[in-house]
Amino acid sequence: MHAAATEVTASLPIAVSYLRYIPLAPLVGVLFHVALGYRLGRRAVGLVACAAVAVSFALAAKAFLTVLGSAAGTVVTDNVYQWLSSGEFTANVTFSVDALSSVMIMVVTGVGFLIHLYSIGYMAHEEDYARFFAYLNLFTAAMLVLVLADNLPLMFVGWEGVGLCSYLLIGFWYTDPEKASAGKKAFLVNRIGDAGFVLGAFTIFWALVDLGQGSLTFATINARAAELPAWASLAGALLLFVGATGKSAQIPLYVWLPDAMAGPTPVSALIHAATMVTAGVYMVARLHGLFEAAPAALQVVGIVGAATALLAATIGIAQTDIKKVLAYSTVSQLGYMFLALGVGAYGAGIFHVMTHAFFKALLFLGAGSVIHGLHDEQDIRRMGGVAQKMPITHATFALGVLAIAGVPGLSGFFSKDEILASAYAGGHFGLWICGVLGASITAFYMTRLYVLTFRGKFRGDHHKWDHAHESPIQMTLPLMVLAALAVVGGYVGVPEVLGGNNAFAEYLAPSVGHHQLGLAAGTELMLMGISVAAALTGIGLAWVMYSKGPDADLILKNKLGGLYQQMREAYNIDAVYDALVVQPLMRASDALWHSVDVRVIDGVANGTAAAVNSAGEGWRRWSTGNVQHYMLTVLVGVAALILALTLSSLIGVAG
Amino acid sequence: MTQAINSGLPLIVACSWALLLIVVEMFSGDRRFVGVAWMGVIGLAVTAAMSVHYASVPAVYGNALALDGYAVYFNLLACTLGAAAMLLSIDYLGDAGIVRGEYYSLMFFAVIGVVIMAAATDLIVMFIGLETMSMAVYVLAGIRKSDLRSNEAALKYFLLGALASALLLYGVALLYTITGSTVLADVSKALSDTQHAGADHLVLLLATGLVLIGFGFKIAAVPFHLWAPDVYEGAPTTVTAFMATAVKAGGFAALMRTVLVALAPMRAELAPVLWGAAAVTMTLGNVVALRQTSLKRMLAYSSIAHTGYLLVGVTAGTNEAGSSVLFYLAAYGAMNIGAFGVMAALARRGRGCEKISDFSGLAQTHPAMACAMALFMLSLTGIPPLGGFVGKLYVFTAAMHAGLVWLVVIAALNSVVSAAYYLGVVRTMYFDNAPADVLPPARPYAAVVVAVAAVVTILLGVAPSPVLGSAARAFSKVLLG
Amino acid sequence: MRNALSLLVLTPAIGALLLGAVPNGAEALMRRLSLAVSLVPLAICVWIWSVFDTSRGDFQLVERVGWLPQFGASYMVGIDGISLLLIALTVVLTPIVLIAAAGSVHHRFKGYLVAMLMLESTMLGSLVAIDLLLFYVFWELMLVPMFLIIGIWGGERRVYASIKFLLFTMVGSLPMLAAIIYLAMQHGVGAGQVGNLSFALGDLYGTHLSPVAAQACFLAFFLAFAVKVPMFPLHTWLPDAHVEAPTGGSVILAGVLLKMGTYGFLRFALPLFPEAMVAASYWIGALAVIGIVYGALVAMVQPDMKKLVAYSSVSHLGFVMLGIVSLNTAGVEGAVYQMLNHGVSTGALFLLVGVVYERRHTRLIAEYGGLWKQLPVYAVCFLVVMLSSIGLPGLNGFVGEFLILLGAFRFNHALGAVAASGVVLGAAYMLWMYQRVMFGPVTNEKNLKLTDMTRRELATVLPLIALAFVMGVYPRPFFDVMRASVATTLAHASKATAARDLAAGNQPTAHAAAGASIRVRESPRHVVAEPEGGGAAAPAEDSAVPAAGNGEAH
Repeated sequence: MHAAATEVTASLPIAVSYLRYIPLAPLVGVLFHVALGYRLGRRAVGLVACAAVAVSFALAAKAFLTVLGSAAGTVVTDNVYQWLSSGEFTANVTFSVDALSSVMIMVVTGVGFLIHLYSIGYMAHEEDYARFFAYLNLFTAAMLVLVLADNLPLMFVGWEGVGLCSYLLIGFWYTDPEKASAGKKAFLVNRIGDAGFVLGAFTIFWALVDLGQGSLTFATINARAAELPAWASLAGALLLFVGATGKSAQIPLYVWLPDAMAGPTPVSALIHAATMVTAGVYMVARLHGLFEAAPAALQVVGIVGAATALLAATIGIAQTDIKKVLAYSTVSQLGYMFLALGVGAYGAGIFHVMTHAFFKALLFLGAGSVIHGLHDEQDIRRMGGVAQKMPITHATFALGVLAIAGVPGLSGFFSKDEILASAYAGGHFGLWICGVLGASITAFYMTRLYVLTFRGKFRGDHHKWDHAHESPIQMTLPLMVLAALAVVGGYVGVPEVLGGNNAFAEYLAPSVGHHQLGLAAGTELMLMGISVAAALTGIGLAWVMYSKGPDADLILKNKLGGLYQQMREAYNIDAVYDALVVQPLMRASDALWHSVDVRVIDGVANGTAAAVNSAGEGWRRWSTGNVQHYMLTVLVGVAALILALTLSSLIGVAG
Repeated sequence: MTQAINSGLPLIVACSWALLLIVVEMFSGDRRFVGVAWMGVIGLAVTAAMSVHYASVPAVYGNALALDGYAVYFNLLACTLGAAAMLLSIDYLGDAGIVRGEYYSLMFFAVIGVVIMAAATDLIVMFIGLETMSMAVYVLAGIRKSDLRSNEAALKYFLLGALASALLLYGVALLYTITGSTVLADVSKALSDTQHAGADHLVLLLATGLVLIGFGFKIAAVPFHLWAPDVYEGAPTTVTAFMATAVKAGGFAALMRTVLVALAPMRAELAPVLWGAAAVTMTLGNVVALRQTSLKRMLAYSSIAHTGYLLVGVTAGTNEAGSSVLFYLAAYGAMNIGAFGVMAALARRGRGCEKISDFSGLAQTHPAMACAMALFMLSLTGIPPLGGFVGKLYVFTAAMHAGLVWLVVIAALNSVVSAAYYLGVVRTMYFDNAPADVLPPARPYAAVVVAVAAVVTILLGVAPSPVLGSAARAFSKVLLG
Repeated sequence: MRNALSLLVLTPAIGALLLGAVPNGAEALMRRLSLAVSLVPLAICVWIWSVFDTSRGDFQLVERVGWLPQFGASYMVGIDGISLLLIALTVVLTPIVLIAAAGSVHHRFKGYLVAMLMLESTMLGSLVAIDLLLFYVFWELMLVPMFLIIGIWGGERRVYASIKFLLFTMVGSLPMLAAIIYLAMQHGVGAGQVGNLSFALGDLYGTHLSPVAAQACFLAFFLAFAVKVPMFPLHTWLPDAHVEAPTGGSVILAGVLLKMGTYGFLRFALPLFPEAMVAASYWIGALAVIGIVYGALVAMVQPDMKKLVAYSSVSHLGFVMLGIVSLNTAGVEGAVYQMLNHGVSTGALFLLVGVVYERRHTRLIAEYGGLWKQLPVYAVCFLVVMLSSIGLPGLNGFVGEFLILLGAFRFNHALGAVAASGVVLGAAYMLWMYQRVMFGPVTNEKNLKLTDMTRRELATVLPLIALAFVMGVYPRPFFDVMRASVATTLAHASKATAARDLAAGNQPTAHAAAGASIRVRESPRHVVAEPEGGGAAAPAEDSAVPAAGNGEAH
């Protein structure tokens, strides 16, 4: 199966010089916001921010169309300048667009534009308007660098850049210490992953140097991965995957993402659902050659993905915060993507990245619209019946739920199904089971979310109900566009068994290889049937249970006992990490400071000084001022001197 | 014969001049004795000039005295240091209530003693020089008759000095019984020609030890150093300045000729002893200096420490090492005269300016004096590019050439300890705030001496080549083949 | 401009003398004069940069004047790319510090400016000296103004801190003097000549030493430089010195003085004792990594901002040392670059800590909180500087750290991997501090009245921030300057390094081959001066030689 997947067409580069403007445009936006934003006011800021992303989108579309319209395997590159060069190591600022990255830039700029637009309305009452858009533009720029980079070091610039923006945006409302903490947590957890990323890059680099080609461009790595010593490709792939688990919120580094919901909702949509968190998936797909060369690493990827998908889904069942539910669902969906990568179905993974971007952005923005309409209410137990007040939000949100639940005909169905089919086809039966189970749970908690929010009667503060309203057009327009995408986005990848030609996979094939399922049509249809059944079961069960209101949680609680409480508290992983890592580290640091620095090192230094001083004090007493005493000393000195002379003379004679 | 007269002429003139000073002093109407002081300074200048003019290598008076390069070097050094001490004294004495004109004459005699010690090529002559110097300094140390401390110091110094002189003389006598001569070269020849075994050898060792002790006392080597802190503290500051510099130079002048010429055949036995003495002396001096609150006592211990460094050079015993000791003495003289000069410049009756804490905040009240003092302290520490550094560098280099690597390492570590107390003075002057009763302005004569000392200290660091060259030339003919 | 380097070194000192003549009280004049004076070395440095030949790895603009012919020591100065970069750092930081002085120094203003200018002279002197003794002169002399700056204008425990600073440094440097003398004495012994002293660096390369002597000398150099760096466990003087020093003192201390240690390793310890240094490289690497992790951990729990930044320096300089002992191009070039980065970022950090210190007279993190609301401009500056310090790509710190880790990983996987954890910890303590100071509500009402950065404060920080961006985005000019010099430096150790790398199972990296060719082209002398044995007995002999030669004249 793996052999079939690695037929990557040799790239045919087209040199251009406009790719650089794709990340540069939002960067100019940043400069504008910082320098003039506070002076020129909100309208200008909003306009410039959106315009910048629009420019990027237009250029991205141009690149996309070029790749689409050219022979398979065409790569558009823009070599800007040599950034780093030291010894064998060189890193250029070179952007390139192939099939894979063209999809990514379209998603990033397209969804990004919609979210910028949405933010104009959503953040309208925010004091620090310019700062927000500066961050948002900066994020877009960094994300574009990440996906456009043609080498690992440059990708790392975007990689850390998006982490920074995530930090800044999560902590956007910095006066709330919890939000600031969440931002810091996100950055630090990401940094752990980044350390892995860097070490992975080093491993590969030096191994390539030993092969005589010290380069970290993706082309080189993929082309020569098979020649690398086994340990190098395995270690490199695993370390890079550590980076991916950080950015893409996989076990064990997913813990930051739920907390990241502290940021403004558009941020959650853009960064923590649609784009940044998929960077890990993108990176693994980008380096598919390397991962192919290390099957064990690929297996780890698949297992971690499946486990994360399942674990996060179970947590999602019990959450009460509308954004937390979506956050865990994101973690879970990212798990699916890694599952896809792990079984070698890179195209399927990226397909899911794309459809997920549509429906998850939609869901987050919808949630934001609800929160906005209900004056910052986020607890779904105090919602209900919102459909009446917010028809557009409701309709679009419902489509999103159906898409993520995997209802046939919507985008999520196609992408998820391809993943599950690939897992099954690859013989990864366990992963397939996990996937199906997760799909069912996903359908369940998403329906729960939908029902509790939009159906039934309002259960919250009636003031909030009275003032509840549909969001303005800047916010609903993106919802509608995204809803449309969430519905039709899957049709680019309709499998052959359903009469499609899987155009998406064909398009990506030059970049990541074509994954042949090799399943009989009947088997494929059967698998499809199973996953649809699982999804419908989940939906139906939740619908029945939660139509009566949030008290249905009690049923689960009774059934599951302590486990349910654990699920609600996200298995207390944070506390475990705190107890196992953070607290010991802090205590150790404190102990190091007080014991090693103060007691040992300064103790030795001060002790030496004290010893010299007390010797001085002791010898000082010798000079008593008493002449007899002095004379005695002189005479003793005479004796000593003569003795010494005699000794030295004896030794001299003996020697 | 002419040569004998010529070689002796500077000394003869100097002695006459010193006697003349006593007479002039009696008729001096000026109670500050400014004229006498200047006359002394001129006399020293004349002596120095004459010694340069009449310098010649061969020894005269039956090989008892030689006005060779070595002698001339010490002559210049002693005269300069003596003149500096006299100029420092002018205002200081007047204020300290020491209205005694013989002061300058005594100091002159002390300088003559040093000159004789350096020029002597015969142990008896050397002893005469030593006593000439010592007698004068005993009196100078106790010249503040009304001051108990001064008297006690002088008495102590005298008693211990007498003991040391007696031991030295005994040593010389024993040496004579063995070798039949007191002329350095002959002693050396006799020692190297005959093997001394048994009792004879023991006597030789005894003689060597006693001679060493006599000089060890003057240079304040451990364990013959105990008098130094008390006497330095008790003596008038200007006398202390003289003792710390010129007297020490005289001690080394005699010690080096004796050890490196007369006792050269005993090198094998002497080297380890000198090694130990150097190590112990510098270590003890530095370590005890840490604990001093009196600047004078601190400088006394510091001077013991520097004796240790100088002994490193003596231990090495090569031409290069000898020259390095000569240079070191010059650098050491400049910075120590400077340091005591600052004290003398600021001291007033009833306020000795002898405690380190007296200098609190000096940088703000007397920026120039503080700057100079800091300079001397840094130079004493061995911070480049000052005279003290080049001195140390030279001694260490010579010692290392002679294979004394470990002794150099010990000396280097000692320098760290010394930094603590020297820079303690800088700290007091620069970091602390001045007390309410500000020190009086610096005295003009002393200020000039301090300024000159500072310039010399810098020059000896930045452009030491002329002095390095003359030190090397001065020592080049001393060692026997 | 044949004397460009001398001018460079002397201008600040002359300026200091001029400044000394300005009457007390004329502070405006002093400010302007000192700034004007400090801009001259900057201008000279720009000129030097423009004429600097980046293709050469040897010393350029060499001047030599006799100084102590008796010792074979001369006033000999010259620069290569490494020293040029550090000179640039020095001449950039000094004017900034002088501008900052007006805000942070409230008594004995003139003295402060004089001390700063003297300090600049001595620092530049250390960087241009290519005679060991001359280097030692500047090296020691550098202590004095710094000692005074900490002691006079420092905080409460300034006396303790200044003495500690001085004694720690001297414990290191005096054994180095002994080693320098020993080395100078061995000069030429290997080639069969009797060792006549020479302190000129060029003469001393390849001096034959017995392995034991080489190790002892290296140890002495190591001690001197390691204290200055400061490497764990010799670092404890640094937090004290930083906390007590005035803002400008801290900036220079962190920005330039610490670099003297790492510079010393590259300029002296490595080329002079390549075998000993290579043999010790694992130990030094281990200490460096301990320093990285230890410094970061201890920084995390510091209640005082300056102490935190001080411990962060321990961590950052650990990176530099690790890069140096990697002894491959990426590691060493990264280390050199990281020296500059640390100067820029940490210098700026200290300036920024000084900004709030001047307003509140406390540096305790707990006293602050929610400052972003009150001082948005300050918070943004701080943010950028912090990001530069924790090595965010696109800013300067990343380039250095990345290359160092790259090189270190080649040198030893375990050391590289543990060092990488320092990157995480570095982010942790910085972000945590930032959060406690900038975020959250304003809890201390004393902070409600704080005003944002003044124009002067911005003028000190903005150039550094600009530099951080430039150095992060376009580092090439800096690497061009250092490339040939780093290659030359590595070439001195190429034989030993290649042996080490082979033993570790790595293929020798390209620099060994490239370096070897440079070595041959640049100084064929070294190839000739291969040891012929018999050198060990020489020091004992030559004490006897002059004694025998001079006896006849008597």
